Amino acid sequence: MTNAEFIKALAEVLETAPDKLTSTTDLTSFQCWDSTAVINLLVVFDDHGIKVEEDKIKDCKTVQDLIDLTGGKIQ
Amino acid sequence: MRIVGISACVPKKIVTPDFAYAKFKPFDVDRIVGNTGVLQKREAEPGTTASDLCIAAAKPLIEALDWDPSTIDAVVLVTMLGDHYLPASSHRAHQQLGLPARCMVFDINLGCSGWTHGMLVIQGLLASGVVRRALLLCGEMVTGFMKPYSADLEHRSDLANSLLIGDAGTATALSSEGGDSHVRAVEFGADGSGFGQIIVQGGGSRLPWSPALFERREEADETRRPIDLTLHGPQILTFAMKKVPALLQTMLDAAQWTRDDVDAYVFHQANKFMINFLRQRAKVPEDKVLLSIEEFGNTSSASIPLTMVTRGGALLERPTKWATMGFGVGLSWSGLMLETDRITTVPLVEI
Repeated sequence: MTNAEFIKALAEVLETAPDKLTSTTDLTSFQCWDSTAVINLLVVFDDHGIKVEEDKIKDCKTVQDLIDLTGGKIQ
Repeated sequence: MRIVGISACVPKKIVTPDFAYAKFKPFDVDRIVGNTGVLQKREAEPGTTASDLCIAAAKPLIEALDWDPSTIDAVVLVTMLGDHYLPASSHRAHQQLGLPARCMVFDINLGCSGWTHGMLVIQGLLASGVVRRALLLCGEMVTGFMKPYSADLEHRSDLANSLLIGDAGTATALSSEGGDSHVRAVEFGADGSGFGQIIVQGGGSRLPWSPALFERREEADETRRPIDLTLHGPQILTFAMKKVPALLQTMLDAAQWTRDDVDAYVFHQANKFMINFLRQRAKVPEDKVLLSIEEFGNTSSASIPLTMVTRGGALLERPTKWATMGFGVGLSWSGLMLETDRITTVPLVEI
């Protein structure tokens, strides 16, 4: 999955525009960053064959944390 | 084994998400309603039990089938919340339905995979020849136990369960008469690593009743009482995405059916997001997936038969190929590929 693809998908999950997201954007600043968002992100990751630990998604603070969680699968 | 009849009973009281909008941020309620797809559900009055709902479903069905109760030699009741610690709720059904002394009576403690597991167990009893006519009763009445009555809802951490879960009871009548089998494929399984993903911690012998069970404690970022239901959504989704499409494929292969051969797919009505997701992953045609979640919520083991009764329509009357799949608490999963013809049913019972 490319970085641009991920940002586009994440923006949909957070109900925002891709240009509002940078690597340091604080996920908790979005009202949509909740358990539903975690589930939607899991589906995005699974669509691209990316395995992550479900528990750790909610611990991510920034966009970069999410990218790091995939262990190099987003480039 | 043949399915000869199915019926369902729900409490009269209809609950819509309006009660939640009055108490919580509309954004939060919208999010949950949008995700679960539950627009209304039924809520039993205090004192009603899962067996009450199942028995009320079973009585008119037995009459419609013209079965003499003395010819029913097994009654199996599936629930997670029995009427009493003992005896089993199936014994109340046995008593109330006037079933004979030579009758096999027991409960199964299962939720979402309860109907499909129960069908597998009864199939075994019928195939062995020990039993000829059986009732499978699947019901749940969780209001007031694992989640509050809608009028009593106070805490944000109870909101999702309060909006999602509904009460219902069902009866499925099965017979070995006629010899031919309706079952074309079965599959089942369990994953103990997910034991804690859907759980009520307190009230059993592991964590016996005490005043502390009624006190709220911090759990992740929520506060819950040990007697409340905990559902770990992301873990359950991961489990379902791994197991359910594979479950369907295994059964299609065993039945030698294509996806188009199946007339109706009935998934456990977990929530609308999950059903849509699994439908897409399993590459199942959308118009063949029956949904009742929007009207009755997640009713645990009752959800598959409730969906068949209320959404099956003409499929119940004519020859029909069904793919049924249950998955959830345990964690566990099971499914059956069934061929049915002329299933007797009765109008939805309301009490």
